[in-house]
Amino acid sequence: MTPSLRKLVLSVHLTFSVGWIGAAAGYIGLGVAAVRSQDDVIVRAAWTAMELTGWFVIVPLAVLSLLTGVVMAIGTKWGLLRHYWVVISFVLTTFSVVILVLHMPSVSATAELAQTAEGAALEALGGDLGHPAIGLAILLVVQVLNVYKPRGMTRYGWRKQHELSAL
Amino acid sequence: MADRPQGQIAGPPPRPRWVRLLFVIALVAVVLVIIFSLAEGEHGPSRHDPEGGNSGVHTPPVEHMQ
Repeated sequence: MTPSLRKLVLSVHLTFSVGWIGAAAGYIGLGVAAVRSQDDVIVRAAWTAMELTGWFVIVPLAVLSLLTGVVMAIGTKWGLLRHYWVVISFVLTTFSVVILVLHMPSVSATAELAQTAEGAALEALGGDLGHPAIGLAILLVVQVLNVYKPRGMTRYGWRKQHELSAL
Repeated sequence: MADRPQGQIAGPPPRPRWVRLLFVIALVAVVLVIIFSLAEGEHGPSRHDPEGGNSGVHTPPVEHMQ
């Protein structure tokens, strides 16, 4: 990958990744509104917004972040499986995307239910705070790993390095 | 090994301490999530659904809008 192309892909990857973190934080804000509000209209609106934000903002950002991350890893000296910080970032991001996509139908179901539920039944829906909170924590770990790039080469990376130096 | 040049590393480097620490934290987090999930019963926001939660087929909102 040429330096200019690398910078372009890095910019795109950072945009999607940081956007994902921001969108997850916004989703938590909506969840808090769904839990705390005494107004049924606000609770229904919060669930509708959580569903729409989830499907149309968070899921696309998550998938694009994962894809551009893989492109960045493969297209640079770091590789996808050569350094622990890249492998762990990749595993955590893939795990987050899978859980997110599996979880979203449940959010849609609850948002649909919120439109007809009233009073105590609406209150009992809660605010779906657990999943986004854990997800946000994972994303912050990935972000820290990507910024600090802690040392540590995998067995595969070590073998590849020796193969290259032997040539 | 006798035929290995002096100064060459004998094998792959050991797993860094921060990786082991992160692995332990992840393991503890997974155990906690499992314990909380078992204590809560049905998983996900629809667990409060009186009709049985996420039992039906639910589609992304775009399909409702069409």
